[in-house]
Amino acid sequence: MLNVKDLHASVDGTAILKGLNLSVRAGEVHAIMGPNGSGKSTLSKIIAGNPQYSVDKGAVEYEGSTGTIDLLSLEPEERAREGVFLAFQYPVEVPGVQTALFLRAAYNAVCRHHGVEEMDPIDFDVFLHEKMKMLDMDDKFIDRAVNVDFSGGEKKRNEILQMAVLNPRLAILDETDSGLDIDSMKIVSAGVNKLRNRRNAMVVITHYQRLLNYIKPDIVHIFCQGRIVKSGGPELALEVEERGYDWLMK
Amino acid sequence: MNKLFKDTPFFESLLAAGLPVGPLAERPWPTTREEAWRYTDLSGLAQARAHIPRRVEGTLPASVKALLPKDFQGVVLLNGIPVEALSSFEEETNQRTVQLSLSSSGSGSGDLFEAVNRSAGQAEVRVSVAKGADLSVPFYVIHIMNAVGEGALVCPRLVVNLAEGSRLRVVEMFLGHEVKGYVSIPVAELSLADGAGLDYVQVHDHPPVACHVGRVRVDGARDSQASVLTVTNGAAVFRQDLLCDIRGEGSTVSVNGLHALKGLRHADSHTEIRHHEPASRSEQLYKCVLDDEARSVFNGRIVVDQKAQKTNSYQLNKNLLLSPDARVDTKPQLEIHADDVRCTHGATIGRVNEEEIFYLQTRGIGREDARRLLVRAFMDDVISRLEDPGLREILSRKLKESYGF
Repeated sequence: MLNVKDLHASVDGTAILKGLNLSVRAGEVHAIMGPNGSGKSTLSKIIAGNPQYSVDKGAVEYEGSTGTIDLLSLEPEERAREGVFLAFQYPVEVPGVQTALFLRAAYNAVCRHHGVEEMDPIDFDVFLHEKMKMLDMDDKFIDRAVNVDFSGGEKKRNEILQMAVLNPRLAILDETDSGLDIDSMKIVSAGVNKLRNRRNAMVVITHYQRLLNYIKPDIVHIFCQGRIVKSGGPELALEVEERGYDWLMK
Repeated sequence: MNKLFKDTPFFESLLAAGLPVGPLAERPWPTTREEAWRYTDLSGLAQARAHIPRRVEGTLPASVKALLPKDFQGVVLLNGIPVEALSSFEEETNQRTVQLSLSSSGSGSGDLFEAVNRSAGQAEVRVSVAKGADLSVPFYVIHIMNAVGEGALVCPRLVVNLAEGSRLRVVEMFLGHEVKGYVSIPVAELSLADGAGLDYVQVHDHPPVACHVGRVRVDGARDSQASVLTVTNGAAVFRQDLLCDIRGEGSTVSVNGLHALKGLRHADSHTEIRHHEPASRSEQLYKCVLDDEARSVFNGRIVVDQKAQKTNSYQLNKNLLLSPDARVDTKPQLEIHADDVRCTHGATIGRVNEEEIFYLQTRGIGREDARRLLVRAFMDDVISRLEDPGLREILSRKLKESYGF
């Protein structure tokens, strides 16, 4: 589904990714771990299309609705409509834009792209409440402006709500566990697990092995200095938790 | 040498139209050399050859009809002349009286334009609300300018008197309809007795070549609550002077505005809020969105008299620039003569936040749609403060359908 080939990328002239290769297939969950500054978040931002990051070399191929596409040639909104989703590490506050309106605009933009009939506000309300229930969210939540005055946990839950609404084929969760207490993490993880199926894939970026007890990965990658230095099964995360990263950086 | 009113073709044309403007001849004509008119150039108006529109028969334009509630209460004026057939109100109920008359051409009090308004002796709409009456259904005063020929002069006057403890909502609209230029110089005088409450909304939709110089006066007695909102798409020249005198303890005025400007449009809001008595409160929020080469001016003056202790005053002007060629001039002016007061003011000028746009894009919303959504959110902040849902809807449609935002 996703093929990252020899990706080199920089921000403000500083090279961050230095020849990254990553292949993700439908049905798989990949976890990415690694020390600060190793390029984990940069990868997520490049896949989402953040204009602040520049790709200097390499390619990102993605299985879209019309076959293999060059993801980097698409605008951020086109990537989203093709089923790429990034759960932000720091979700952006959007003052004045009501969450319910935002979610419906997003949902319908994806519908239009695929030639599917848009949902009217009443049907969408029912649909949305189903998803909110799954994440144990308060009804009033969607009347508030997007992420404005949300607690850290609420922001992260809102990201997963958006994921549930948009039902992406490739979801990248960028440190979704940071800022979550243990109960919230269980709820969010349960939500993520419900969205998991054979046709979609997830890439979970985290600092802590703890999250991987709830969202069980098939493959764990360790990032270091803009490259993957080691890949393995779930046991690799446990090993890193115990031994740190130093032994991998040699 | 400073220019005098009599030196302008505008003055000549008013005299020729039979308006008693003679006594105003020696008044100075405002130029951009004067601080109060620095950013609003009236040289175009000085050259305007105004004429008084004759009675025009007309129907309510479909676009206006679609905007209003089906059973709206209020007065419709075409080119300054009340049209009974289009209006709908009871002259007298036990709660309220509405009188239509010709404005008495009184003394030349007030500034030049207020004096011109009086000299024109055009229609005056006077709404008086009885003690304790609570009228939540908005009363509309709708000015439609559709006179043929440029330079039609429209000088209406609205007088609202609220007796003790009464409440009223008034919506005054200035709508140019399939018309080129005109000059509108309206005056609104709103006075609130003890404990009265008024929601007053002014909605403008002018063609780009119109010239509008308006004045609103608010006079609030003890424990009164006045809320004024001006929503405008500007004009060739759009100027509003809003003067509030807070004369009673415990009273509050809330003065808000929205400039939504495109093309070469201009809008200048001058507010002046005078706290005369202790423990009163004023709050102002003016938001301005500017595209293309539009220009917006906000000048907010707050005067706190020496005895007006415990005054609470808050002012904020937020500007959103959508184009590198748009321009904003904003200026707070605080004159505080009391020592135990709380006054804050602020102004911001910014562009649409790229991070917010990107966030919306990552959810499938196209860049242009994202931008539009954010601009609307910026503006809705002002409109959402209105209590009346029907009115919020009217303004929301106006922004989209007429202003193009």
